[in-house]
Amino acid sequence: MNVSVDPGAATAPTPGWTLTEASQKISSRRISPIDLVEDYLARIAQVDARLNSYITVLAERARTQARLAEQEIAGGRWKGPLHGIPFGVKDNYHVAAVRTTAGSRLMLDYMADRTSTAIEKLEAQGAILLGKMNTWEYGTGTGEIYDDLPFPLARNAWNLAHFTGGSSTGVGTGVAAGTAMFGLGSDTGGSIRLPAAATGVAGMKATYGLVSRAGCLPNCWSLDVTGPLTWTVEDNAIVLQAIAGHDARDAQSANVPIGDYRRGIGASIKGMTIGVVRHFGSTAPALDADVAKNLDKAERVLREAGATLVELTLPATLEGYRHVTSIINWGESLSIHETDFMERRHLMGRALRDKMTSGFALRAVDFLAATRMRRQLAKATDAAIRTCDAVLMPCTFTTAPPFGDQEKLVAFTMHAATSILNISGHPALSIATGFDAAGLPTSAQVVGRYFDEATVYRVAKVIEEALGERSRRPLL
Amino acid sequence: MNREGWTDGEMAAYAAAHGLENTSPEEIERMAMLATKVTAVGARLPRVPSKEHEPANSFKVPQ
Repeated sequence: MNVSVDPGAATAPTPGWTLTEASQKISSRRISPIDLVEDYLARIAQVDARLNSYITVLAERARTQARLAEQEIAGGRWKGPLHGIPFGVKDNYHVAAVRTTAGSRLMLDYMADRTSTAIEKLEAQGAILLGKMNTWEYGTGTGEIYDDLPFPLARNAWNLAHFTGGSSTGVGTGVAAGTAMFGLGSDTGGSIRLPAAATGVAGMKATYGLVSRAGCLPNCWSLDVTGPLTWTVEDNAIVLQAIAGHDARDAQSANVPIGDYRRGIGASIKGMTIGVVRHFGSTAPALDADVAKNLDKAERVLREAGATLVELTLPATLEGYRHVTSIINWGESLSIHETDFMERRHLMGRALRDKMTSGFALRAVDFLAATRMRRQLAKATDAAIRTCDAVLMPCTFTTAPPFGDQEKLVAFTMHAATSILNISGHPALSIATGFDAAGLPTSAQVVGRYFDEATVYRVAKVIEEALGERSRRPLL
Repeated sequence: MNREGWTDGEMAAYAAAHGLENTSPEEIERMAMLATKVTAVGARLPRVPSKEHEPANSFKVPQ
């Protein structure tokens, strides 16, 4: 059955709609999932040769699902806000009978026999998978570009000569450019939030264990988190709602009640205490002027909304957190990919081979010292965060650098305030706070108490409303 | 390893002892550089003083 299309749609191109808006139009049958999916496939055809947000586009699979969604909705069986919504996933999520490359020559022919839990949940709620999106090899990199991976580099939708942030390189830029309405990434030290910051979208690293990682190629078991990248904070809450929850397939899955993540969005934050972290130790770089200016604005917005802002000091320097992250990541990652390293490392790109080598040279006692320190740091960080309702801090210290500047690429990736929250396990959302003088997005992180993603979204929405400029889209 | 870090010879011996085959001199040189960095990061990591403080490992008895 055909569903009539809102005549107003002609003046609002699909990439301009938020997930929330598109969902309302689908549920009221003003747009058809078939048309929406065709619009996204057309957008991919139009821009992705320059953007490289996808590794594999699943056009026919998406069309089949769109026809099914349309039949269901027309038959009165609307499944909820994700029904008929097109999305993409980082190509380290498995989909049965579809190749997972993880951006690597080692996996060009790999086919999983079971779909990841997060994708299963989204598809059960009617979301439509458009394809597998670009990624650094096995989710690994320091920001340095070696041009030695099997797929072309994803490029920033705001300026194609600039970095997308990694490792979920295709997902952030795809959401910004409108090649996916939302996407799923994975985050070991910042790999959801760094692309979100680089491309001006909302990227959530939820509390460790809240979202199942089953069926997502592991990078570092004790730090990995899967989660959504979206255009708006509310869209992000909708997707998280769909994928959160206990999963017996994931050994670290938390068995906790799931909150209503949208409930507080738009509600007042008057009376809340918001911690502000601005100092990360003497070895941390200074924030770029535009990033700092927009962070100042975010503070002002929160204060004007009635929150009390207090300065918060973390128990370690950024470098201290990063050393612990690095050691744990080196050790666990080599354990995961040891056979690949010992037998087929000639197929690896340099970034992955370097990480494997680092694991190879790591002493067991140093690895254990890092995991012991991790527990202490997490406890002390939690004690600090627990004194507030939420915390505001920078995400990346600069905007997305140009590809040619290796030093800035590494600084963007390694000198970000992201791995702190992988070590501690707290929820952290990267959100857009405006733009720099060159038109590249600036960002901040909103952090919450364990499993209190609802408050993170509530606070982030206040900042987004004032500073996020969600009506401004990249011109491609 | 000497105080300045891993030499190429030490790295080559270590790689061979741990079963890593077909290493080129260039690869050994880079491995030695990375191993030196890894050793330095490990050495700089503060130690948890209490012997009772356990690692944040991932083993849990099924409940």
